[in-house]
Amino acid sequence: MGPAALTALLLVSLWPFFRGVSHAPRLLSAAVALIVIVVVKRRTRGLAAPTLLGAAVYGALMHWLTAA
Amino acid sequence: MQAGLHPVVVIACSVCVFAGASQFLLITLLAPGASLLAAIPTVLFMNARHLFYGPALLARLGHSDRRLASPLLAFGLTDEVFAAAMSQLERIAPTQKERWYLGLQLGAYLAWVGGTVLGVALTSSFQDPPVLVREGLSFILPALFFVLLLELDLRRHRSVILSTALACIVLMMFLPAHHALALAMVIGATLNLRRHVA
Repeated sequence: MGPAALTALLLVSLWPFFRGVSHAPRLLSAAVALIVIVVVKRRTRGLAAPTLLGAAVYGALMHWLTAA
Repeated sequence: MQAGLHPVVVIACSVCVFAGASQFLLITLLAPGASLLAAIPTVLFMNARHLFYGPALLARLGHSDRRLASPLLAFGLTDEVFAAAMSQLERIAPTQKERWYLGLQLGAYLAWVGGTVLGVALTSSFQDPPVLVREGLSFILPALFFVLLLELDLRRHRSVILSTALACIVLMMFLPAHHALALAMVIGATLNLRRHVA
C-alpha cells in the first residue's frame, strides 16, 4: 500500500496546480519546485529541508511571476 | 471564523475533528444551516479512504509489540501522518514503532490545534497574507508527499507508482479528489500485490 498511497496522495495534492491551461505560472512554479526538491533531497537526508525549500521556491516563483 | 462561527467553536472543532478537509467540509455544511444528521454522513463518506489506511498501517506497526488500543492509534491518523508513517516505519525498531507513531500523530495533532489557536488569535491581522507566504503554504503538502515518495526505492516500485499515477489522473477527471484517492490507492496496491504473487 505504501508506494501506491504516497503516489495517490501526491497526485491528488498536485492536481489543483496542474489543472487548466490558464495557470501557466502555477504550473511552471510547481515544476521548478519539484525539481528543486529532487536536487535538495539528493544532498540531504532529512525530510524538512527539501519540503520547506520546495514550498519556499514555489512561493517565491509565484510571487515573482504574478507580479511580473 | 469567516463562516461566522464563534472562536471557541472553531477551536473545539479542531480539538474534536482532527481532519483538515473534513473540518472545512463540516463548517461549510453547518454554517449555512445544514443539520448534523446530514453533515456527519457526508464527512464520514469523505473519509472512507481511512478504511484502507488503518489496516495498511497496522500491518506496518506489527501486532506483537502493540500495547495501545486501535481507536487511540486511529484518532491521529491523517493523510500526512499516514504518508510519513508508511515511508518511515520500516526503519524504526519493532519495539519503538508504536511509540514513534504516537509521537508522530501527537506532534501533528498539537500543530493542528496550535495552528487553529494561532489563526483565531491573528485572524484580524492575517486576513490577506503576502503572495509568497500564501502560495508557499499551499505547496507544503505536495512538497511533503513528494519528499516522502523520494524516500522510497523508486526503481523497485516504478510500475506501482506509474500505474497508480495513471489511475489517479484518469479517476480525478471524473470523480471528486477524495474518491479518486481511495480508488487509485486500491488499484495501485492490487497491482503491487499481483506483482508479488506472480
